[in-house]
Amino acid sequence: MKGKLVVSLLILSLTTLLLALLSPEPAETIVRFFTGPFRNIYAFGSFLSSALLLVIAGTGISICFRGGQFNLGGEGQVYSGAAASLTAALLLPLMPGFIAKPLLIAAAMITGFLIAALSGWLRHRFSIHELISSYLTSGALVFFCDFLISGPLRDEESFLIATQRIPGAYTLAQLLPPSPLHSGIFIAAAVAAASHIFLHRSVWGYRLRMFGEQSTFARFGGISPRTYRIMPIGISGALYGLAGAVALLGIHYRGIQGFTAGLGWNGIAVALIAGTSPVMTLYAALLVAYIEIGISSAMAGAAVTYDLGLIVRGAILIVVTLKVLKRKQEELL
Amino acid sequence: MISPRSSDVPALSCRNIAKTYESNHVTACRDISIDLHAGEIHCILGENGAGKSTLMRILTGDQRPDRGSVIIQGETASLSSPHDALKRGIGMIHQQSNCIAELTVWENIILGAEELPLVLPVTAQGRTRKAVDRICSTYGLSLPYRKIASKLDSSGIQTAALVSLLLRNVQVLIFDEPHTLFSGTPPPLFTDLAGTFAREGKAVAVVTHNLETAFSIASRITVLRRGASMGTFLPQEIDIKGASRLMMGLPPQFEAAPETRPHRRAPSRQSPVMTLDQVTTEGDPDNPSVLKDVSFSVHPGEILACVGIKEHGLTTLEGLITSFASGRGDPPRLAGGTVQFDGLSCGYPADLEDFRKAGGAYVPSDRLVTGTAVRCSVTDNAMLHVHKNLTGSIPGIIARDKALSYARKLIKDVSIHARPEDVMLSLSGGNIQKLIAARELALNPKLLIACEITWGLDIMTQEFLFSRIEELRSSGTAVLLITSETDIALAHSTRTAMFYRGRLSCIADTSKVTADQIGDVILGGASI
Amino acid sequence: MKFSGITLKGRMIAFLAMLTIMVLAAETPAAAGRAEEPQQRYRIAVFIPGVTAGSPIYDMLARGAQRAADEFDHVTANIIEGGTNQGEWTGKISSIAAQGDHDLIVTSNPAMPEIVNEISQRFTTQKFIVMDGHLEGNPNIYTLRYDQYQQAYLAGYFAGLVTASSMDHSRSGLRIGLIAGQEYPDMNRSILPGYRDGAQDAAPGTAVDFRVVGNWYDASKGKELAREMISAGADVLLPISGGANYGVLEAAIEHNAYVIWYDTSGYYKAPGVVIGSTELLQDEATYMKVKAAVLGELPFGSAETVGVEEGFVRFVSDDPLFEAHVPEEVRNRMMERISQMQQ
Repeated sequence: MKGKLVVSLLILSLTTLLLALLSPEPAETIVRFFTGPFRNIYAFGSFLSSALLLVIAGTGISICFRGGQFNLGGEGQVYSGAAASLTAALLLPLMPGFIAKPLLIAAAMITGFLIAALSGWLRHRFSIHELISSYLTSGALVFFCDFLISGPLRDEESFLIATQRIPGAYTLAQLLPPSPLHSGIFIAAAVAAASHIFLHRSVWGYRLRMFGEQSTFARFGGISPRTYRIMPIGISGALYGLAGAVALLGIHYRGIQGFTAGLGWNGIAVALIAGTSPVMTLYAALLVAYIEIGISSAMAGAAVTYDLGLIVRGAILIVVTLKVLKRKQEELL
Repeated sequence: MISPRSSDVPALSCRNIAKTYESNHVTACRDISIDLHAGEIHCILGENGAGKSTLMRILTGDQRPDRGSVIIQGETASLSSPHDALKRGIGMIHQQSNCIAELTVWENIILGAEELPLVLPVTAQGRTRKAVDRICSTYGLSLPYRKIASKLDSSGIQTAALVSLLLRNVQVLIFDEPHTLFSGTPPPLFTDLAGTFAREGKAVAVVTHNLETAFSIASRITVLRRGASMGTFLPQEIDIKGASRLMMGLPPQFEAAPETRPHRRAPSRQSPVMTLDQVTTEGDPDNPSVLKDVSFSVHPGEILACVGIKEHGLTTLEGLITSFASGRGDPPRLAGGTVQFDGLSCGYPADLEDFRKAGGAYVPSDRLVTGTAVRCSVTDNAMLHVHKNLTGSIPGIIARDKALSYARKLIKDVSIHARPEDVMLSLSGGNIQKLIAARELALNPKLLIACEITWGLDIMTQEFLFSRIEELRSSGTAVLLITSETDIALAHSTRTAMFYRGRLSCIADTSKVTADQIGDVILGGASI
Repeated sequence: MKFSGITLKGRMIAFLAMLTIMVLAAETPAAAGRAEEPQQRYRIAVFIPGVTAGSPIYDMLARGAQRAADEFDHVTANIIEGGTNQGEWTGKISSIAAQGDHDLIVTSNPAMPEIVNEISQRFTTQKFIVMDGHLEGNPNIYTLRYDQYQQAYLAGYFAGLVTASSMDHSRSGLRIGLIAGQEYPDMNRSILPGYRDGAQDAAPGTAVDFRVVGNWYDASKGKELAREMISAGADVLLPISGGANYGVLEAAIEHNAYVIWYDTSGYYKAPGVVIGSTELLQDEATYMKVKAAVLGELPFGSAETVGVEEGFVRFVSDDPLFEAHVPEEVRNRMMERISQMQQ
């Protein structure tokens, strides 16, 4: 708990420091950064809507970590999930929303699951580390989804590299217009609650935790290594896919090239900050979303360049990973 | 024997150490003072929970005492962390060494030291490598540098930890329940290594239950009981019996108890639960650990002890009959012969799940990597085999109250001080072993395979565990005891099977053999 | 669990308290400042859908708007970079509009009208200027589009002259190339036809080899396409493919072909290889339209198309490198055509 607070403070002070050093108008930039999500309804809604995506993605990665696996393929899995949903929405005949929405979400989750589970299977079957295989497949998938959106699904009338809009009946309800906050927030809440119950109460969650904590012990207890090499990373892939579908149905309503970019990495950042507890995942998602909105608010108001925003985000990821490495080193001594 | 140079300032000492844990209000140390001199081997004895581990944690900066002081080379010191202690030349080899499981042995060795960054220039890597090689050849150790740490067995992990400390030129070495053997060819004995370190002028402290080891190497002996020192003695001032009396605070007549051997009985005439018939495992026949033409069976209601040197086939036997390898790779494979365990005949090598379904229970010799998930709670560890039966009204969801009460039951079974939510790592090594045993015994198995079940346990605990095993046996469980401790076999088994260089040299009713006879067989291949 | 719950709650309270202070601190001085000002401030946000560094067209947009702002005491311009991810643009412009403190948002590129139009439905009082884009009928949006047909026509006419000329690297066969980053409506409806018509008018029978990179950054793909076109006989290439343009340029240098630069003057990039440039005077156009908006004279809701006659699209003929590397005869014929178009 204390560690989390320290990390949060460290991240916030690092952000402040970087903005103060690099912005030509430090005072205004910093004020804008901290007040960012609360400046108006739109900003607040954006804050929550990006946090809810991070909750979904981060929860998946947390489960993956608990299962002792690492999934670096988030970018590709989110994008593929969204693309699967999008393809289904555009190509299948028009359906009522209450049928279409679950179907599109399922398509995204299954796609994400299969992609990630492949890495788990490769690990089990051929001892190819999922860290590498998930990263490489993700790279290829991003290209493929870019191709889908810029090629077969492309809206020829648009100047954007984008598809047509999905039917209005398929979209998630707006909760706080004009902000992008939408009913996906309930999905995120359900994911957080379900994952908590799954991990800490269910038979499978127990096995997954034991396998992740000490695989020899789990095998000793007769827990199947194959299932639990595939399940943790598979779940993280499914939730990444879900995040992609929610971004599509709740925010963008159409595929735009690269429209889910960043969610994969930010999901990992959330899980790293959160550590193991689902409650902490909520907290970490809010923190990361806060920083995102804060930076974009700082960019909108003061003379902060786009590159500076990228630098600050990069710095946060480095701090988070350093913290994890540090902990590993302490364990050694 | 090396005697302490008492005129010297002690390399490390402490005065009036007291420590109570806030989390569970357990007072681990009440008032302990101890001196470690350069050139001595100082054995610290005490039963589980006597405060040995806590004292060592304080001496190595892992814990801060509530009262009392730590003195290094005559100067009062305030150690902030094990790293701090390491910088002052104090290092400890833990029972459960914390390596980074995903890294190689080599990476683990260099990662520990900040003066050796992981991304070393090639030359510095080379220099370090030379230094490590020199250490290994000096002490006859060997290390598989490129092996992933999680794939080492316990003695490998301890060896890596030792090398890593020697590389940092540690002058005070503290061993917590050291393995008898370290990795090397031939494997150096711990007793020899400790002597070498002492001769070099290092202060060596050994925390142990094993009185025989202690008395064979110690220059001085300190006995702890319930967080206080019962005194420090030269070996000639005290004998094993005296020390164990001090440790347990028991009247002397307790010593006679094992001699009664209450459960000696002839093998049952019922059909065997497990039968090995002319079993030979894959591998070079000259390798002592490869089993060669081994046949025996275990019957309901008997305790069959397999004794010998671990590397003479006991480890292979454990892996073969449980179909389980604790490290990487596969369990040993049959090259010839059959293993039968009830219906599971042709299945070998089956997998551990089938073994369990067929009614097998298994206390592994590797308790820390295989037997427990040390970072998980007692409850998580307790319900490993039964969690699927602990669900409540919702299918697939474990009922918390059922899980907790199951954990409490096991805790009560072996009467240890722990709460279900405690992390395993916070328990002492002995209590961990008790909990593992309790978990396996609670299954009321058809066959119990208990490997090195007494390792690191004090006599009280050993007696206690064997009383539980005896209960099982009398209710019809077949017990296969695999142990490298002859006295355990003698004290508790019905029959004894003696292994030498992978062969079953001799199998006899335990009541008809003596310790000397067994020693002759397992050390020299004599026959009875 | 209970213990940690308390800390979490405590932390949340501290966190909210800190935020309240921050918000108060932020709002007070700004409000005070506003009250003292005699003349109402006029704030402009310039949204760059990308980054200005390395993008002359966006750089001109920023400079033009800034220049207009600098002429008035009460006008300020904020340059905001949106990055290259198209998926983020809607959200970013929305958040600027949501702040409600910018009187005008200026942006540029053909894709922006659809984005801005969508945002305008939610933020109904926000005014927008979109340069280099086209949308009619939204009373809050003014758009200005450059006549792409004309610009491409200029490039095509010049390419036709060169391929038919006896210049060093002109080959027989009357074949020229156009490399696009992507196919999009303007490309298919205006640029390609303009280029083709220009070439036909200059040298009847000239064939246009048209190829698409598939994105706006892949220089090696651009280079590969250019090489194929050159070996197929094209001797003048017009790349309109963002970062991939540099791959095309490299291929042209290595395999002795000519390049025409589009939207900005590009002679200096490879003297003797880049032998023609068309140019949009985006800075000038932005300056004029923003200034008109500040003065309240801009007809929001209308869409203008400007070209050679208005002076915002031109062929760059006053560059010394142009004079040095293009034979006088070709130059004269080009100037002749331009002056016809200007009338």
